[in-house]
Amino acid sequence: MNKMLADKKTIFIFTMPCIAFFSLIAFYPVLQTAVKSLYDWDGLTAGTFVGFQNYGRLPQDRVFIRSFRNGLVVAAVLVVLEVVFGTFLALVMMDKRIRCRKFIRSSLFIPVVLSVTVVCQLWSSILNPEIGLLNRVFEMLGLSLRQDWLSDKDCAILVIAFVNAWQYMGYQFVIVYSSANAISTDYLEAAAIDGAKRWQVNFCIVLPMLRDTIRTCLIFAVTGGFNIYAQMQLLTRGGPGTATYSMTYMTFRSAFKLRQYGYGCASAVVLILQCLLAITLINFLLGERKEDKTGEKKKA
Amino acid sequence: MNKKAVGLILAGAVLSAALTGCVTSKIPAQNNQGQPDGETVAAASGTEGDSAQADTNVKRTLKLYAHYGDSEREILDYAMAKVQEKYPNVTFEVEAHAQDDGQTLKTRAATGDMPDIAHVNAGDVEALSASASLMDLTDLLVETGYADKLAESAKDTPYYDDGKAYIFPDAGAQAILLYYNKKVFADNNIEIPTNYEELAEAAKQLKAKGVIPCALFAKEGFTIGAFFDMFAMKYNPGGIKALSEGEAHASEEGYTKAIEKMMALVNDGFFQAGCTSADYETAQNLFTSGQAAMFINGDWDIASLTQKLGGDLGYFTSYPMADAGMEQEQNYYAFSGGYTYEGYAISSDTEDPALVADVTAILAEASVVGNYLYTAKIPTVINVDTSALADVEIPPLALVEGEELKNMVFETAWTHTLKNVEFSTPFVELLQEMLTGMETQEAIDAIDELVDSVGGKR
Repeated sequence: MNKMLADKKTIFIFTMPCIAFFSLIAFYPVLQTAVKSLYDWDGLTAGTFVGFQNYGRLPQDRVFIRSFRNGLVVAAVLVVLEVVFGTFLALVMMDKRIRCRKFIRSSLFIPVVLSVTVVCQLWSSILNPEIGLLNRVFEMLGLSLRQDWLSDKDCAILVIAFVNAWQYMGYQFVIVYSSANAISTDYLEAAAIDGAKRWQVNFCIVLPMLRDTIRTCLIFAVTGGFNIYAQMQLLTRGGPGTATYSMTYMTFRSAFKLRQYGYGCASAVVLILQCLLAITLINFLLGERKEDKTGEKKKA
Repeated sequence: MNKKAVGLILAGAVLSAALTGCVTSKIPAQNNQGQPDGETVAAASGTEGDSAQADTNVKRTLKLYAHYGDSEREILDYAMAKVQEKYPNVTFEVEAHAQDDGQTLKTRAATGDMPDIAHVNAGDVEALSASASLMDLTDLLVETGYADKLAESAKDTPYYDDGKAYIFPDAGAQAILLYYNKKVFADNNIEIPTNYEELAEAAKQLKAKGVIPCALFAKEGFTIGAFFDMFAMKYNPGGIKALSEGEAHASEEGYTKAIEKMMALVNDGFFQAGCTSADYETAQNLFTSGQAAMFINGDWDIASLTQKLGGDLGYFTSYPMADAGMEQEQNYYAFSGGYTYEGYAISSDTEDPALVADVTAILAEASVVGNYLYTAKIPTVINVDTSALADVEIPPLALVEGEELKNMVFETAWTHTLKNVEFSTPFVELLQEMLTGMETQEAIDAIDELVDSVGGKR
């Protein structure tokens, strides 16, 4: 076995089919998108090569700026509600003194298995400003918090991010919870013997050992925030106006409403680069640090 | 093999695959004028004169891309049954039309997978005709006899801007109506308004009594477009269309007055809260349950609304947005809506075009009849002898509206049928923003900027 693993030709032969297949289904469309972003193209007829003209238009496009900003807002909300809150809940649920832990765990995961259409329909009813549950509850409690939740230019994007977080927080929770449970109890018991309090155990032992898991969760949350689409389509169709546009929604608008596929491809490429940059940054900040030969810490 | 060599081979493979893909994109063959090439033309023209002799026992399965939702199912089933009366061995593979701004059709055209028959609108035709994906039906309209069946006022409807016919039209004229609930007005002792001043006053009184003046589903762009047109057309019957073509500006006196009036109503709470995210069911429910006094939608909704409101349903025979005392002078019969470029088109790649054209003509005609039978829509696009059809209970209001349609003037256009999508898309977005609160001058400036961006003439 070791001999085989040392043979680079063998490695190449065995990995080539997989790499070729992956290239075909992942890299090829991305490359096509990148190539088409250099064209003035309507998606049907032959395009005209325009170089980086489409990219030059992007910073001057108010819809692009709004979409870009919305992506950052949604990503920030998802990080807080999904990762931070999900991790907090996971740590709380590890406490065996909590009653009905199984029930709470299952309840948190239920929204994840629901279809996004069902979730949006549900929240659309709850958030209806005239007949929705939320405003009715505020009214009953005598609180002046009634809002036009999905038609308010400033608030709608936050509401959409919240709906997304409500659905997928359980997913992040399960990832963190299962990783936390996999931590050897030896560490926790040793800390307990040393007199560490619960919060000290969580902050000094559990969280550092969950770094890889949290890194993965962060990548899911941030790229999910940048890529958000379905909730916009189902709840507001990007409205009011362009207030809830995301980069994905903008790509759709450019390609299929304005029939500017080349321009749509340019925004798609920016979205891909944005996601890659975020992943690189998260990996850089939370990546494993290896001791190098000089004993200094080196980022992986 | 070292790492560099492996990397080079992989990169080369990926790059060559990408470049190969670039030059082999499936785009229908065309000559340098963008017309179908000789082979396609031959296939289409070779059918001339054949349709009358088409073999009615021919066996064929046709891919049909058409509206097939709950409300359209009966109509399409009826139309397909009519086809099978003549062609018993022709069957259909129905694919439900997606509400996706033509994305599915355009993608299928780009990949050479167009359905044989597709229900299209002007937006689809704009893109598909440029890529020669649709068959020119100019001759086939005559050969199938469909051209003779078209109503006098609809003779030009199959023809697109390039002079060619791409559709067997089945839509006819459709007007956007401002409906009202007579009972809500009567219960609150409010007169039905006839002009803008009365409308604004009625809206105030309704609000004071806890009634929403008007229900709107502004999630759909055409409803806000129609609302804008209700004001704009009082001063310029061209409405949105004139703006989209750069023939007018919002800063012109008439449009400015229209926008001021519109914004005054909007800012006074004319619509229900959350109207920009409201869908049809929500808005219709507010209206039919008496929570809203008025409702904006097309005349196709008369049957459904009559079922729920009976004799309490009414509509304004002229939009009450004119200045007091100027009702007759300010384009009394100007309406939003009109004939839409909509109907059944045929793929330029389909086999046996004569047969498919004959089938499509039957489908289109039967769709018009089906619309009459199942939704009480009076046929206007083709001449149909309704007395020969099964007894259909037509709501009295639909009959009145059917007559009124003859007087209505349609010089504007639906927002989704405006050919200039670079104007219509951001314009609808802007209208939505106007509904959620915007200064009048800001709205005027934004519209002017948009008109200028599409080459507006000052």
